[in-house]
Amino acid sequence: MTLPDQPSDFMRVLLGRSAVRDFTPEAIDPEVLRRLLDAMIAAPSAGNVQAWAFVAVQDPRTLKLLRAFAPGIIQPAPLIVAACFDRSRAVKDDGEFWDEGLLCVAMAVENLLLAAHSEGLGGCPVASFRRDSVQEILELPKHLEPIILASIGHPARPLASPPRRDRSEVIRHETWGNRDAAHN
Amino acid sequence: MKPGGTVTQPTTEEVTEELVLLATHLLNCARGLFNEPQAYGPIRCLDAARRTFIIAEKAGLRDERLADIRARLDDFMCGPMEYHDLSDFLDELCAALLTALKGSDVLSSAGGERG
Repeated sequence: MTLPDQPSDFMRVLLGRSAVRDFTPEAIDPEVLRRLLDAMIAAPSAGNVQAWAFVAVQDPRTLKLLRAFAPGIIQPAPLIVAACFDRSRAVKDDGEFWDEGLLCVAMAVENLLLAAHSEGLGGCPVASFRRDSVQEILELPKHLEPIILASIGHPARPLASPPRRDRSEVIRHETWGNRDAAHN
Repeated sequence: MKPGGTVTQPTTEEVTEELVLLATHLLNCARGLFNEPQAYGPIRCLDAARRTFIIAEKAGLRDERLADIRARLDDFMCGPMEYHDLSDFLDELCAALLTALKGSDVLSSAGGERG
């Protein structure tokens, strides 16, 4: 098989995403929103348990309330998706809690952010918010625990990627002790 | 701004709403800082200053130097996250604010601060 010289469109989406915290007031097109949410719940799920639940918020009053209780949301956004861990589906046979599903919630949010980027939108995942207040604002039952608030919208400023740690600093091959840079 | 260059002034109710939401934000920041990294503290204060300037501008503040400072705060909070020397950045902003306020009409010479 011959590999292409240029990255695919999909790779460009993966490599081009960066956090967007400043949005125009433009609303999200309903059809685009549907695609974003479909991409979100197509994420990997451990054991296909899908111990997750999501609330997509576009009502202006609820958006204001959420932002006031979420210091991590820097600017107003036309859409906030609350990604929740469903504890009722995250119980092992012996009754113990099974927290691996939290990772699946995070992967679903990554899918959402990448889908948003591919549609010309942008977003930012936020964990700095008051859990019990968000629970009350969104009328979440006790078993749905909000984990991430993702603000999504049309970027108000050009995308800019922050510097990343060098790949040789964070990736090794075969063993961590192998500092052979040949692969990097 | 409306076509023709007229500035739309917000109503008292709109400004009040913004201030109440800011107060709510500040209280949530205060509580959150018990659980968040210590380094978030200065950033939350910086962001709260930025949000306050936004409300002041909506309420009619027109001051080029203060607007420049607000723009720098916007760039910091909304731009890519880089490892700034935050104390130097805050020193610069505080110095710029002092210069701006000393020559600004924003401060009246009447009365004293009330609280």
